[in-house]
Amino acid sequence: MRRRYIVVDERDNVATAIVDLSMGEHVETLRGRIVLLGEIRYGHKFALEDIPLGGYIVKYGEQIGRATASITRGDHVHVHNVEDIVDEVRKR
Amino acid sequence: MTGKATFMGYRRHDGGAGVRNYVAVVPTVLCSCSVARGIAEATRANVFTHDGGCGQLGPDRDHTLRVLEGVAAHPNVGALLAVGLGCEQIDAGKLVEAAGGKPARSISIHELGGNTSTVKRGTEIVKQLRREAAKARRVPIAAEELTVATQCGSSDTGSGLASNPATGAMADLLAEQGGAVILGETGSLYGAAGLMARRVAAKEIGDRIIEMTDVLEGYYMRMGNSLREANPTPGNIAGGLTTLVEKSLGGVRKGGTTPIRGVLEAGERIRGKGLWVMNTSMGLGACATADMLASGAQVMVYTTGMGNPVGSPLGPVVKVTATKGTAESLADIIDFDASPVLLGDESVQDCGRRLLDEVLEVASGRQVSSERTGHNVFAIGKMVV
Repeated sequence: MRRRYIVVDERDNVATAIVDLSMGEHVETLRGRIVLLGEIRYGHKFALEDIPLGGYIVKYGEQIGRATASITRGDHVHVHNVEDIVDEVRKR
Repeated sequence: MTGKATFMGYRRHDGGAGVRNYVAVVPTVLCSCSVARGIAEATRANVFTHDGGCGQLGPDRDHTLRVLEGVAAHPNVGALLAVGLGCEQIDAGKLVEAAGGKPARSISIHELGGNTSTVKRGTEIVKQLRREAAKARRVPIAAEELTVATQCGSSDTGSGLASNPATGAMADLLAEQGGAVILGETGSLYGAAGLMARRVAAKEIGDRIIEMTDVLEGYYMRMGNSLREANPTPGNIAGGLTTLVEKSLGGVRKGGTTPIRGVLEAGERIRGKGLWVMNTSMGLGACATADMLASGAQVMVYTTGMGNPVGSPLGPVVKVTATKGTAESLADIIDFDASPVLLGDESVQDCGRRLLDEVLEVASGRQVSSERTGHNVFAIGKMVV
């Protein structure tokens, strides 16, 4: 079966869908089976693990944002629950 | 790849290695662009029209001269005609000097008595230059003499996830061979400046990367906007990109993972091997393309998700996409399909190897799509101060 999502780096806590995925769909990952808690369209991300409020979103093996809500494994991860950390990481 | 890779290129008078043997018609100023275009159309030479060359202040004036001298000196240019007006800031004679011993001439519209006579005289000269340039023959040249510029445009999901990483793998392989790579587009570095600053060969290089992104943010703020407010764009967000940091990290992957050797100013001549960051000028993609190629890079690898259509008159631009639909629907734009990486059928490393092979083939003379269809643009951007 064709790959349905991509995890760029093994440190990542999110995966990116490369086909449209439906709410309730099961995806098999290296971290076990995940039930998607929302619709994850092509190019959008879902959580591979629980991320607490204030925790970092990791993609490309790097921090890309901070959770503005408690994120559950399988949740859609996007602007509604993530804030940019550009000021924090830009000069570090 | 095992052992030392080579390509078939042109050895220039000054020792440079070209991958094309262009006859370049270079207007010194916007005012002579129409005559230059007339000459180029009559001779099928490559023309470098731009909107500078006079009435420009400090950094912009210096930048225009630097880019045009870079065109004149470029190893892909086998012969040059500089077309001046006669009263402009940029001296056509300076471009002939920068040509470094290759066949080069300059003409002036004022001296030759107007537009029609200058097109006629320029056309005769270019025909003669073409005969002189045609004496050059391709010879085997080591890949370590290759500089590849990297850029992205009309990006989509596949860019950050597949085509940029594959381009980065190609960049690492070329650096391993002793070649050089340029990563430009200061705006796209912005959110990854901290990460880039940790990957440098010396601390002051990192400080310079941070500083140049600060200057860019200052420029945006004076225009009444923050770079951060404009990014990610609504289109990016609809496509699934969440933060500017995420966008930048996807962009900088096309430079690969080797230490950054230094920062070049826009259009500045490349100063060594390995990975270099260029503080490219402000403008559309063609401006950064001109800056990076004018540095002496002979080939550009340009990743594009939705399909950017234009090449450059200064060097072949290899268009790479990881979006299968784009590769299929825009077949006369796309040169290289990296979609197997996105689909999980090819590793990033294998795709990088395949891409370096493609770059070496193109360097040896295989035409890219924009060369076959004849769609090039050239533009000189504005300096950010």
